[in-house]
Amino acid sequence: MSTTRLNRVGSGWALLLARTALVVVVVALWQVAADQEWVNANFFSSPSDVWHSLGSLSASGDLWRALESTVVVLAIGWVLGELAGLALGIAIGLSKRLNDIIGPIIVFANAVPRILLLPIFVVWYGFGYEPKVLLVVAVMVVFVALNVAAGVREVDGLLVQNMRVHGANAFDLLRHVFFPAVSLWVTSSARVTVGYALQATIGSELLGAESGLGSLISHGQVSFRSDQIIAVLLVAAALAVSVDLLLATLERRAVRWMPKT
Amino acid sequence: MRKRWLNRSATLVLVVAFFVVWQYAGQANVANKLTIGTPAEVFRWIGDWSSGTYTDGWSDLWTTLQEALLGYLLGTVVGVSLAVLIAGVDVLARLVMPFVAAANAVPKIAMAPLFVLAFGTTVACKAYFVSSLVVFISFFAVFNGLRSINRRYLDHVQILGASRWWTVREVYVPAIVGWLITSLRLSWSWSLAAAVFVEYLSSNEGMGHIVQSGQESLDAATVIGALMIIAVVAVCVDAGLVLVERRAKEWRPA
Repeated sequence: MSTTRLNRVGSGWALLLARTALVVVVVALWQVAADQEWVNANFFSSPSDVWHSLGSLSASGDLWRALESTVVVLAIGWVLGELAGLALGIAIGLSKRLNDIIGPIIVFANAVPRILLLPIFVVWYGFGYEPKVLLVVAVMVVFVALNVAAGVREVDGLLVQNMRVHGANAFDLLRHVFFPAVSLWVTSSARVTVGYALQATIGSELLGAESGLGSLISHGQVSFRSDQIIAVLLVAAALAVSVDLLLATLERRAVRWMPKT
Repeated sequence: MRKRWLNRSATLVLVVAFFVVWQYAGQANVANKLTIGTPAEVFRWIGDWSSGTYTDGWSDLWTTLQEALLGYLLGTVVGVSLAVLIAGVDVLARLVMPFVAAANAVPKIAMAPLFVLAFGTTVACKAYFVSSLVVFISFFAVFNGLRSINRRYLDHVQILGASRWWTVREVYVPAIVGWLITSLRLSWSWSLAAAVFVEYLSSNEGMGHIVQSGQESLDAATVIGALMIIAVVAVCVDAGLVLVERRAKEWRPA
């Protein structure tokens, strides 16, 4: 009986209104708490300061340049990471021997926190685009490879044998069986992998890069401006949420043809 | 059996070949020696580190582990409490879940500078940062778990006369512990990475600080050596957690 009442309360406009009210209350409380110095200003700043910071960053164009740089690294890194992971994953998925040989190395690499490789990449390449893209690839490649390999192994063996009998060569198999199987996984995992890629991108920008949202955050830290840090974090969150929504939409489109299970 | 043995040795050959090429490349300066070091140097550094020639290395490792552990505990306690509260109160879940999802989408690594700014270079600062990552992992593990508990099972238990306390003790708590164990490996890989990351950003102790100081003095052996130690520790912790996970799942039907 209680669920029906909840359903009425928790639907449509009422819910939207309640959520908006919640945001307003939280922001108002935050402002009051900051004004009255109830909270650590070094951590929480205040909504008005964050708003001003957002305004000035956007007016000077710094924010947009940083955003562009982050998106570029994210996009290039993600594509390269997917490609590298696909190549490796298909290879170890198809060849049992290869999997036996390099599998242990990949499992080891999977347990290493790969975001920590950045210092090495920076020592190699300096502070340009290369170490950032490389980090994104490094963070993604193992995850993608392991999952693609699992996907390749799940392909119906009977289907493969049937195609072989009918004269399909290795290329035909890749083109008509393995590629579609794997592309389904790429689509359905895109939201997770892009999330990893964004963490890696911004993480790499934090550590002394000259451009990107992460470097704006790092400037905020050096100049003791928590308002700037929070402002940029909000932009990063907005970027993350919009990319996620976009991918969710694309994913729904992509799997629309599939029979519902 | 013989084939398996062959493949294992092939793996070993591959790893050894990697180190040989690396040593050669470093020595012959194929790539800049300053930037890649040589395995010989790296292993010498690791030897110095473990024997305490280099300023007591084990205490740095202990600091890092402490930060990761404290952060893990704090994040888990907060995450589980929030999950129980929000999953228990339906209205609350409807109200706040979109915000939780949005907060989870924030690249949380990027919050490290905020913690450094607010809490300085203390162990607590690192633990807070670690907990800010763990909290989401444990929250979602437990929240989704609580939501998936079979209603009919709860109804049965109630009809058979279980008290509220009994239900909590015998149904909810074991389930929550189960989900926490399932999320242990993920939490710990993030805990360690986050602790080292924030140390690297700003700190005067811990493995991340060693990496950072090595980078400042352009000492590739230190950077790579310290990262290797972290990697080995991470792999060992992960292997240990796999055992814990297997142990905990033993009694369950497949």
